Amino acid sequence: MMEAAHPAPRLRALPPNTWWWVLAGVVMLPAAAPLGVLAYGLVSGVVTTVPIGRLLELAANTGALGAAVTSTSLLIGGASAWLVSRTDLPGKKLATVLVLTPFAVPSFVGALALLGATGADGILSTAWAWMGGGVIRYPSGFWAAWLVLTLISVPLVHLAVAPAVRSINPTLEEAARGLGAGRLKVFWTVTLPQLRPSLTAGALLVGLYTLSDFGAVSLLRYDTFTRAIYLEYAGRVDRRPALGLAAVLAGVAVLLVWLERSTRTRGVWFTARPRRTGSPVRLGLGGKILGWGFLGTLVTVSLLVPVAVLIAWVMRGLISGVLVDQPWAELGRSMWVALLTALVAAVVVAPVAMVTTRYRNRWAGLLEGGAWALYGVPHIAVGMAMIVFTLWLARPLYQTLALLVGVYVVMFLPQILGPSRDSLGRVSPSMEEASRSLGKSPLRTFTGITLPLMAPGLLSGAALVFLTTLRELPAALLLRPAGFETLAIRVWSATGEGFYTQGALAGLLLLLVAALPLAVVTRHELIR
Amino acid sequence: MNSFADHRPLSARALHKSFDGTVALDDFNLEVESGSLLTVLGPSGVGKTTALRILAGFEMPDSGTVRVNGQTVNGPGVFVPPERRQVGMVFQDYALFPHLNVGRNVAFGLDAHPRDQRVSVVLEMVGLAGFEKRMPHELSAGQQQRVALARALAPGPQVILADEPFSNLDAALRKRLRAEVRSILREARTTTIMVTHDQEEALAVSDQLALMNEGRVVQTGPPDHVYRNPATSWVAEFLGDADFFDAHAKGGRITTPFGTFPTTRSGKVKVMVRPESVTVFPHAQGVAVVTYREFFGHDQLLSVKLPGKITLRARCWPQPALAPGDRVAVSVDGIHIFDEPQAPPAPPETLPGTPLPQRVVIPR
Repeated sequence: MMEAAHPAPRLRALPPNTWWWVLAGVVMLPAAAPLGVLAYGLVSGVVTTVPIGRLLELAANTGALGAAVTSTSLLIGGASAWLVSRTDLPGKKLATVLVLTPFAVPSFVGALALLGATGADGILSTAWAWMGGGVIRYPSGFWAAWLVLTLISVPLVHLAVAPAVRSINPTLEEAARGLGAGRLKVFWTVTLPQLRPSLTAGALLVGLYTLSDFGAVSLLRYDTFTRAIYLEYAGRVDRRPALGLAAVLAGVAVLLVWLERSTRTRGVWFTARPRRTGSPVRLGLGGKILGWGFLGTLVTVSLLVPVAVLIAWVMRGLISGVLVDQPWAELGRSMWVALLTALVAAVVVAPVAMVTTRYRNRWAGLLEGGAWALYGVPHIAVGMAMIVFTLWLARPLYQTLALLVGVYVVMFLPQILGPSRDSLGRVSPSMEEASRSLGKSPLRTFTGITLPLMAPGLLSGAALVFLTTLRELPAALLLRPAGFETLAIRVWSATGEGFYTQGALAGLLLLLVAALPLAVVTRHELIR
Repeated sequence: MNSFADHRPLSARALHKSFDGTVALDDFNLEVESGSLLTVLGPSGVGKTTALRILAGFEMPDSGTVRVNGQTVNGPGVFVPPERRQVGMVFQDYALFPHLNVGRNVAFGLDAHPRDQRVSVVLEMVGLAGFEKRMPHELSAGQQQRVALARALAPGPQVILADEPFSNLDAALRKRLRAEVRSILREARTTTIMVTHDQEEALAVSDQLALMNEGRVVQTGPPDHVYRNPATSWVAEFLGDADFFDAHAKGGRITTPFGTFPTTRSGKVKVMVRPESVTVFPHAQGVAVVTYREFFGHDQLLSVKLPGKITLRARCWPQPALAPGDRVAVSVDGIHIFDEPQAPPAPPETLPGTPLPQRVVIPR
């Protein structure tokens, strides 16, 4: 049929479009550097510079932590999702916001709160001693990391599972009950299978997060890949073992991303059909008290106590006069890096968004792949790869701000690409064509029509990138110019050295400028 | 090419275009007279939109020339970008700029100086005087359509191209708006090329019709001329209702169950009959039998079966009420004769109701 000759209306464009391709290609090239180095690390035998016993030990530790964090956060996040999405619990909106906020708390701040709460000087220990109890010992290692990472991961599971819980098909459950199945049997045989895709997606997200985390495991001294990479990097001149570990870690992460993506499509298929939504499950008074008791405990442990501990340390510092070294310079540097990153990302994303929205072909697919290439690759692995890359091939870039910003842009591009494409998708190509036929050049069409219409997505994406950059630790730690201490690094190093007062002030500041706005920016998605 | 054609507002010669091996345009030719409304009509997927997009400069032809007011805008080594063609465009989705109000939308293609005045003149022309400060999303579909027209008219283009301009409107609004748009275009003395797949719309509004099939224009002319003298059986069938049957011409005549018609041809031919030229009346010994009836109030459509496996439709007075199975006599007021597809092309013959005994009713 001739019908096929017409490109789909959304995907057509003006004839002189080569520039977008050139721009987009140049923009995406840097993503190849870290991936190339990591791939080289995997195949070149660099990995063999790490004793096999050490590799297995790290794999076992990382795997154990991942499994523990994933299973507990699935249980807790699944329960909270069910409570706010399927029952008549009062105050569900507030509960949702409170349950989801901890996801904006950086893991190293969580670790700081745990360390600051316990031990001889710990806030909770002091309070406990005051009530006549003994000292709560420093938690460290596996259990400490498990606790901190689980509390931060619960929102991830909740986010993944809640929509699926809402769209559970009630007629299936009713049909099963009508066939004589009891409540429990219905749950296992009918309800749970409907939730499985979203639970799987949530589990993989948490697994990826745990695998990538550096802040909590390094501060709490649990020996996983990320911590080992940093120790190798910091303790040796030979970069090969660190690179080998980074390559292995990146390989596992890519595998998880691949798994996550392949289940995600199935999950969408599974839940996307419109259905009658069931009436909420009625909780009795006891059920309501129990429900709020559960959510209240969760929020207290994951949000209120950590913040309270940080505040208490700052107060203690103010009272005793220890708090002399205030982190304003660090705050300034963090803001500067984040601002640069957001600006560059906004400029860079425009051609990528244009090409990937307007074209469907192999090259556009490749470009989109490039934009997502570093998604899920642990930041510490990217950082390690870039150190090696600059030392070998781009010496002038080694330890420069330009390199750090460039790496951030490539890593965080998906965050701004999504919103930009959303708003660009609302710009019909015929609007640009209308502008051309009204006498405007391609450039004036872009500045007069496309850019203003794309601006909202560009702005919210840039805000997201800004806030994410503020919180980022491992890449900054590896790639920063010498002596360039950001707020996140400040929290991490102060905590590592036991200066909880200093750490707490920087941590609170970080929560205030990054975590809180992030929770606000993503609120709509959270509550939806 | 003669110099007369060069000064037409727009002309296209021998345009070819294919997408990934699929031919969209194959020797496409089109000319439009100054001040007239030309409609390119054809089924969806025959390349109408591609042709329009090439004329506007949004798409590059593989070969061929396009001239606007005598100036070549597409040709060997020549490509004038859309912004320098003086060709206005009205889009199927109107493509109003959602971040600009009506006034700034209409002013978009104007130079700085006499802008406001021109905007109000054009808005008045389309019946939207005083709408300058409204935003596009606050307008009804019909108003949006008229703003799109005003915006295209404002810079005073040589030609306005309109791609299915009424397809996004509901049926009632479409009929009202197309009459309005036509009179606006008349008043503005604008040359317009419109693309549509809706025959009724094309017949109703156009000065000239260009029928398009398989990537080329197969016939052009005023609507009633094209309707009455279809160049091919495809045109006849696409434009209005038509029934066909095979017949044999011999000795200057074609004999059909409903009469004998003169012809200059001989051998196998294809005969086309339009339902409105068929009249039936009840007759016990009639040659035909009614097989189906649809009643419309102001008329009725009958399907009748004649000897030789010929089926004709007849659009006729609602009376008498005939029912399937009734025997009827048939009279046909004019037929068209086409060559069989495999035969070498020859100009088709149109045979009006002629002196020879044509209203033949042969009750035996």
